[in-house]
Amino acid sequence: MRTRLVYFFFFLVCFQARSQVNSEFVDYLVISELNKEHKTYLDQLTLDFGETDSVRYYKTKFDLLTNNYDSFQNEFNSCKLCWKDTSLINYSSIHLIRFSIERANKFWKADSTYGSFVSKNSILRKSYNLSLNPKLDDSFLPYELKFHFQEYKSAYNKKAWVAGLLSAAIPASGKLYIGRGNSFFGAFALNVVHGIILYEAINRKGIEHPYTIVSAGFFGVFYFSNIFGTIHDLKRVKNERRKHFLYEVADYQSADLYLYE
Amino acid sequence: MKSLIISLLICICTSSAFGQAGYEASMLELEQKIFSEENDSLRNELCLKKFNLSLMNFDARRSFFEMKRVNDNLISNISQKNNFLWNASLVSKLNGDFEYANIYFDQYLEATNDSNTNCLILGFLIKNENDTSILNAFERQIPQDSSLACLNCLNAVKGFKMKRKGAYVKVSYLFPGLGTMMTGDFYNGIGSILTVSGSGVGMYYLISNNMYYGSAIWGYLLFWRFYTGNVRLAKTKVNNLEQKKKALLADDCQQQIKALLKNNQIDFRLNK
Repeated sequence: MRTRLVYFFFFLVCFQARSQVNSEFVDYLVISELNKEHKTYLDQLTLDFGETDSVRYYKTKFDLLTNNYDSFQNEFNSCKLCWKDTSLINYSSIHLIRFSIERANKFWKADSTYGSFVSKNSILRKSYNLSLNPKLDDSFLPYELKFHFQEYKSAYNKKAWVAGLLSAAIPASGKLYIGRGNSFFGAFALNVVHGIILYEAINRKGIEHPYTIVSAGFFGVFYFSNIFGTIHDLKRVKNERRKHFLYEVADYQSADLYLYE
Repeated sequence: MKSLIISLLICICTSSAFGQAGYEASMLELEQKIFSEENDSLRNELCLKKFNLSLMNFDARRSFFEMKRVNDNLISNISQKNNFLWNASLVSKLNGDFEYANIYFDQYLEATNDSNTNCLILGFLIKNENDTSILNAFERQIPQDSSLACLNCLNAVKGFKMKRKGAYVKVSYLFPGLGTMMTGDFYNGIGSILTVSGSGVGMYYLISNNMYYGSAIWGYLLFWRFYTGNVRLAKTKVNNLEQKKKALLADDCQQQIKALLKNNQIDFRLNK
């Protein structure tokens, strides 16, 4: 009996009966922006208790808090508790998509591998799929996001060859087609001005004069760059609208979602 | 049984040995105490301890953060309070927040009436980074000390302006490229001369060949841009030259201050 009692005290002293993570203290560290103390605390817990799932859960959150995405992904993949926390998964998706759409996609793939793929039902994930193929059903989108989706969809449906053809017919008109009204006037004026110079040079000096050839070269550069520039710009417009749409969805979904309660 | 007791003792001892972990562990330990402490004064005392600990470890950024958590009104010990005010002004200065530094320094001066040379030097260094009127008011307030005369170089650096700065720009209006060359940038000056005169000659050629549209358009697209660009370049170069001269003056001043600080060291004041 005595020996058992001594054993009991022995274990009580050696493995102090502390709960692993004091979540209130962690919240306090987050609110006070004490990241170094926060890190030390989690490292100390790892030293004391080893890489337990609950410690890993808090480490994952910490990585997300400090935007340490590489470490975050590694921790998350090996943290069973994390994959069970739907709000953490949703919060992480929102956070990651703002950093990089590709990284968010990687995270969702990991969810389907390691987790129970809860993210597949989130609006953000569905919107991501929709952004890849706007012909899919968009009825899941709430009214507030429909407008942004339509904006993206209209850009997505625009054809590069139409934009190029329009710019070839009337310089810079392709810019209007792709929705870059602001840069239309500048590009149009530049082409007109060089056209005037070329016309004047041909009229006064003839087509074989070096000045005419130089003017024709300048005009050609501006004319063709206007066509190829418009085609290239369309890609940018599509990308921008896609990002804008997904960011709006992320904002919508982030309401009432916090990393720490 | 005996061996069990011995191993128990070993465990306790090694645990406390590991307890003497590094600076980060001590900071965390203090933070845990702050977290669990409910009494404001005791909490403030722990914050002050944490601030002092970061000072001892030369962690200036963290000290600045911890400094803001300490309420100096809750420090009951006068000497501790004065030391805190001194340290806070020094830490703020080191972190480049001269407004905080000025506030804490004024509080320190009001509380101590310290007229030591190193205190006056710190005052000069802080107030020099604030408004000129603040520095002037401080100079009137302190006793005349010839050993501090070299600190006047701070005023000279602050008020330094290159003479005849406008002349460089005016010259650029009249003779494109000349202003830039006068600042010592010979190659860019030559570039300006060539581009402005080249586009001017081109314009003249177009006008003489009755190509008025071409002349007007090229004139606007090239000549005007080269000409105004030359003036802008001269302005930038003059400003750079001024900064360079100011940096030389500041460097010289820095050397004087370093020599002064060698004899009158400014250091943190930590409570024993």
